[in-house]
Amino acid sequence: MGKKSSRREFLGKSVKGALALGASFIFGFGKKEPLFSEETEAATRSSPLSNVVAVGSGKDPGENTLRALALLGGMSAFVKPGDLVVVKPNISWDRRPEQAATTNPEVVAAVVKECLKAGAGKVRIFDRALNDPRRCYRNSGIAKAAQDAGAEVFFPKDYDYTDVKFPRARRLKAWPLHRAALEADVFINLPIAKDHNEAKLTLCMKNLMGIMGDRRGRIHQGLHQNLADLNSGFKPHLNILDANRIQVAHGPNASLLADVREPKMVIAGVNAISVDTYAAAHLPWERDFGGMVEYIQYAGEMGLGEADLASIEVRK
Amino acid sequence: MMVNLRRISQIFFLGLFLYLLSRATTTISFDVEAPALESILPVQTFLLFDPLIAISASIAGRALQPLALLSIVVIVMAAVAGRLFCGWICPWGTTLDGFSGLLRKKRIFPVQKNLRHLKYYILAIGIFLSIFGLQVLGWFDPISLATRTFTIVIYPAFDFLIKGSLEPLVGTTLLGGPARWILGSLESAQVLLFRRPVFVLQGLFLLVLVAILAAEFYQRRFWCRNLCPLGALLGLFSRFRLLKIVVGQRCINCQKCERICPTGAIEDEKERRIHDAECIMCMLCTRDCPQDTLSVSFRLRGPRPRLAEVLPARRALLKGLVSSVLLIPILKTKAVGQRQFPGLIRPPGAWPEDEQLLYEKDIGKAEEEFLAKCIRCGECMKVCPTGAIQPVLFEAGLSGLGSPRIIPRLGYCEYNCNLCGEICPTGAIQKLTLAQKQLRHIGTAYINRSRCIPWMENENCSVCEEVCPIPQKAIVNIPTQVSNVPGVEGTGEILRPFVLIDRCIGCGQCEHECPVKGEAAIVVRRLKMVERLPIRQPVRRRLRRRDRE
Repeated sequence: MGKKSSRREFLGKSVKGALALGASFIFGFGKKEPLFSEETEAATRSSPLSNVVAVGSGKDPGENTLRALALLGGMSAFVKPGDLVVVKPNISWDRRPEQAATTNPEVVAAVVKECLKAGAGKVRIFDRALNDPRRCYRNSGIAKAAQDAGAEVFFPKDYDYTDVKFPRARRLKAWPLHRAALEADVFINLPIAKDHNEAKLTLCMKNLMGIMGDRRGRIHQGLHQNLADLNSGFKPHLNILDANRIQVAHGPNASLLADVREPKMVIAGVNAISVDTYAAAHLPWERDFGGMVEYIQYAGEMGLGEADLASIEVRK
Repeated sequence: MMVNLRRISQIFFLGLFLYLLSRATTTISFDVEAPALESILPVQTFLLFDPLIAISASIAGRALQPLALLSIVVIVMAAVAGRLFCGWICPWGTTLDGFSGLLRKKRIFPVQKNLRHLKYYILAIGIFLSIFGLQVLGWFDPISLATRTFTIVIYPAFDFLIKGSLEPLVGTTLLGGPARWILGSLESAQVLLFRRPVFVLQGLFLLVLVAILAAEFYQRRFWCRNLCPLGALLGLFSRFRLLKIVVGQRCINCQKCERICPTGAIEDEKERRIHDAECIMCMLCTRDCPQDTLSVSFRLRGPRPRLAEVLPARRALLKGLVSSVLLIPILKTKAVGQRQFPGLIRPPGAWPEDEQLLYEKDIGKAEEEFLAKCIRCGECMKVCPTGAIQPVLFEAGLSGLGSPRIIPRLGYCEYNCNLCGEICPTGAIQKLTLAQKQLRHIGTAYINRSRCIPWMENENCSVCEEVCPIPQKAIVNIPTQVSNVPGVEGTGEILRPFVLIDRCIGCGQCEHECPVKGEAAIVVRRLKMVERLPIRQPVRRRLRRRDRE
């Protein structure tokens, strides 16, 4: 008798457990909206900062960051108390900070601290690296600097990507993007400016590749239009381009210090296209790209932002 | 009580073994100053203390292993307490005991066919072959076997089990948080592997594991009593042991001890004796004797092993020597694999620095020296941060089975890493400084223009050039005006990649990232030139002296 009831109990428990599991699958997937939507697009266009590019120059990378931010109204213009902020620096290469393949850790630390000062509930840092991620996070100095400044540093996982459609895209119609980027209240794009053989320059727009999943080699065919398409679907709230040290040759993963120049500035803006336009024109590049970078041009044609240098308001 | 002590010891050493194995990976620490391998003991500790490896690697490699003296500890242990190592320490033995325990067979195995001499055969053949420079004991050494099997089969299976069951739950509302937390904690503690481990030949090594475990159904500790050459070696030294188990006066010949002994060490020959060379000090007999007449005794002068006991081993040794002579030509044959397998990319440090290796098809001597020392332990495969290092089947000849090679499609050789040389317990992969490693050619990349997108389809790609880690880039783009660019009228400019073979060291990151499906459009091959005989002597290029800013 004891055996029968315990068997029944066991069966009952298993069925209940299976139902709960099944329910959590059916009802549970937390899908948040991708960053692009008609509302956010309209809000961005009407923002007074939509064609403003702020430049902070000086010897100290951290202070340059603060200067540029101040010219845009300070971090509190972007981060409200309690916000979940995701900062996406370039941590893609196993290089040291002085080799300028990854974002300057002092800039990252400054951004994290400013977000926390503005009352952010949490600041998360990640990037999808091309070398072994542990080595990249460690040798770039970014993980330690960000963690010490109070951020949560994590490695992106294969199971955290969800497909996002790009309705305005001409070529790249959809791509899996990392859910942390999609679920953030504020997404801050934090690239380092570098020379790049196929893209010519890697600045703000290209840095978004770090939130892409799947095999990214595929998007290199027609890279320029694909980058414009990516930026049509996903828009960071704020772009801060680290140009304290830049790579001008053998990029994007050069290791020779002879390939590094030091413009000693930070360029910031809400619109990646405008920041990139300014950076392409004003940083001491050594490659001759004819004064025009294709993906910036395409983005301008698609109306994603101001790509005409003359129409950009520069604040220094 | 002693049995419980032994169980604790076994669990401790297995735990230590697994801990050290889990530490054989790039540290996850964010601190730049942190050492690349973080562990309380060197991760190869078990292999360093292994006397069989010390002996066979020293003989085959024609040089005394640097830390060979450590293994004397284990030899002394055998001389004092017999095969205590086998019963109390060996992680492979513990694995077998654990598996048998899971079987929960209360039935005590009757002692069946005596195959104990086989392990002496294997030991003899192995030692003799190593005199001829052939390393075969690495396949049979239990520590090497355990390391290799855990690395290639068991750890990935465990990793897959946990991740496979928790990862699908991550997106759900109810269980998502806890699942994520468990995964995150296990990953930070480096219990779970950082990457999804992919190893070729997993099936083969799984088969070997299953066969050894299946043998447990036939005879308890089948491997240990019949096949293990380390057990045989320790058994040889056990004959002079000071600590032994003796049968007391109260024996009533119930034969319970005989049936319970996992290695079949107890036999009745006029008087009940315990074979010194087989007893692994498991203490089960002392616990279960109904007359409580078995005990551990410290004897300086005890009954010496009788000739009849020792003779089977001696016979086996002699027969083994004879068999080895037949094996030498089979193993040394180049017929199967060594003939020009172009994809045999060895880890940097496996071959000496020699320009001629890059031009000659026959890599005989370099391979011989490497394979003599390589014990196929799989530590290099475990530690490689990108999973580039994979076991070889027959691509390096019959004698190369299990040795490491780099398969770029699965993983590339990380430019700033030299962990494989750091971890190799026998120095088969030499320790190279980072500067040395970055100049060491392990192969050359070749673009297959019939598959490469810019060459065949007139569209830009350049991923290979982008990821090439060489400071001055070993791949350059040639801007070319072509007329069939998709979406462009008239002619357009595309970038076509070109390998500078003098600069390329063969790391394989290009092949790894190439977006072409199936075989990559850029592949790493062992030779500097497309495989043809040089018409004249190769020009002495300055491959080693490069300006580095």
